[in-house]
Amino acid sequence: MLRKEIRDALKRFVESLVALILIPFVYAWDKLITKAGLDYKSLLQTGFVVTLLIFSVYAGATLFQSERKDRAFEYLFSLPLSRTEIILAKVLPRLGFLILLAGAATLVVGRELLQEAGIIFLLLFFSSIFLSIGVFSVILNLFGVGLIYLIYFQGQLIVSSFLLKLGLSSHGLWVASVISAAVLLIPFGIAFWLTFMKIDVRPIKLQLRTYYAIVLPTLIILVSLIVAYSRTHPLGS
Amino acid sequence: MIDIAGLSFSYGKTRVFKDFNLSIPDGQVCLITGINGVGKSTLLRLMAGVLRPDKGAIRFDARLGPDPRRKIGFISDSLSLYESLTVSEAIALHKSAYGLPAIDDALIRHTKIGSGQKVRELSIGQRTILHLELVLSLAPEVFLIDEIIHSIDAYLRRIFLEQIVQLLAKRRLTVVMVNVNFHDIEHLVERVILLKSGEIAVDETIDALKAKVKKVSSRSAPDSLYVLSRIDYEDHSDFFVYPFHEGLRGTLGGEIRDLNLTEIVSAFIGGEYA
Repeated sequence: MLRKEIRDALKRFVESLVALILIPFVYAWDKLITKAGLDYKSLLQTGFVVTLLIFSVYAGATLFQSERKDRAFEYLFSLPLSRTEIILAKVLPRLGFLILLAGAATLVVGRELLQEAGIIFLLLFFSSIFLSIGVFSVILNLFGVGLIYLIYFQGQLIVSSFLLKLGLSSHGLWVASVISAAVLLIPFGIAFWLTFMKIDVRPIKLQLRTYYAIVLPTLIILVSLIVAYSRTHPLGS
Repeated sequence: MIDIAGLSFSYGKTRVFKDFNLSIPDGQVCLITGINGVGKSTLLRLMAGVLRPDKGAIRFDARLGPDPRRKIGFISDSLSLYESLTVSEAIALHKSAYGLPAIDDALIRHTKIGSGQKVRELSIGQRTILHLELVLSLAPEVFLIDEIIHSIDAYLRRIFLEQIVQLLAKRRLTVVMVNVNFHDIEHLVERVILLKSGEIAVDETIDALKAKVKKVSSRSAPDSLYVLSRIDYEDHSDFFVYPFHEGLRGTLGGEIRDLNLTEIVSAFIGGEYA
C-alpha cells in the first residue's frame, strides 16, 4: 500500500515540477527575445514558490483520486488495513515530498521563504486533504482551498491585532498564523477524520452528513466573525 | 461461524435490512438468492466489511483473528481493484497489504494473463481469475462470491468452479454465494436462503427444499395446494407447489415432477414468492 502511495505521490510531485522546469526556458526567452532583464535567482524563487503552492494543493486534493478513478474503494476497504493505516500510507509520502521540495527551496532561495510561507504551504496541504473527502473535483477543491486561505489571511490579521494590543508583538505574526491556521484546520480535520473513520462503499454523497454538519457551520461562523470584526474595525483603524 | 445479529442497514432513506439475523455454521456452502434489489449483494458486502451496518453486528469465528478480513476472500460483482496498476503491481500490492510471503500465479499464467497488462485492460473473465488468484493466496476460511461468475465464459467459469471444489475438498471452508443461476453450482450448495424485502423468506437445506418444491402438471390445481407460481398451456397447467409433502401424492391427479435448483428458484421468483 505504502509503495503504491509513494508512487502516486511521486507522480503528483513530478507533475507539479512544471513551473520549475519552465524557468530556464523563461530566462532564455527573456535573454533572447523580450530582454526585460529578469534575474535568474528571482525567477527561481518564484518558481519554487509556485511549485510549492501547486504541489501543496494538488497532492492533497488528489488523495483519493486513484480510488475514485479506478473504482477501487471497495478493494481498499476489503484490505486488512485500519483507517489510520490507510490515511498514514496516503498522507506521509505526500508530506514527505512536500518537505523535500520545501528543503530544496530553502537551499536555493534561503531560509526566509519557509519562515514566511511554511505555515501557508502546510495550511494549503492539509486543507486540500480535508476537503478531498467531500469535494470530488480537483478544481472545486482548489476554490475551497482559496476560500480557506482568504479566511486564514483575514483571521491572521485579526489575531495579530489582538496580540499587538496584548503587547505580544515579538513573534506576533507567527503566533497569529499558527492560531489562525489551527482555528481552520482543527474543525476541518475533525470533520474529515470522523467521516473517513465511518466511510464505506455506499455512494459518498450519502455519507457526508457529519462532514457538512461540521464544515458548513464552521465556515459560516468564521466568515461571520471576520465580517463583524471588519465592520467594527475598519482597515487602518 | 458467521453470526449476523440485529443487522440494520440503509442506503440513505432506502432501508435494506432491519433487525436482520442469520447464522451460517463453519464449513457450510450457503446460497443467497432472490429477486433483484432484495439486498443479496449488500449482505455479502456487509459480511466482507466493505459496508458498515447502521446497527447490529456481524461476527466471525475467533479463529479468523482480530481482523477477519485477513481470512475472508471476497469476489464482488464490481471486481474492484486499482485499474491503473499492472497485474504484477496489483499482485505486489495485495501481497504487501496482507503480509503474504508469496502469491502463486499459476492460474494467471494458465489463463495467459500478462503480468505487464493493466488491470483495466483485462476482460471481465480475466479480472475474475485475477481476483480468484488473489483470494486463494489468503487461504481463506470464508469465501464470499457475488454473481460475477455468470458474466464469464464457460472455460473460465469451469476453472473458477474447479478451484472452489478443490478448496472445499481440502478443508472446511465456509462459502456464501449470491446467485440467480445455478446449473453448474448446484452440487456444491448445502443451504438455500431466499431473501425478500430484506428478510429471510425461505431458509432450507437443498435436500429439504427439493423435497418441498414440486411441479404438478394437471388441468387444475386442487384447493389444498399452495401454489408459488404457474405456467398455463393449452391443455394443462404447471403448478409449482410449496410446501409439498408426500401425503399429497395419492390425492393429486396429473404428473408430479422433481425440480432442480434453478427451476425451484425460478418458481419462487416467477410468483415473487407468492
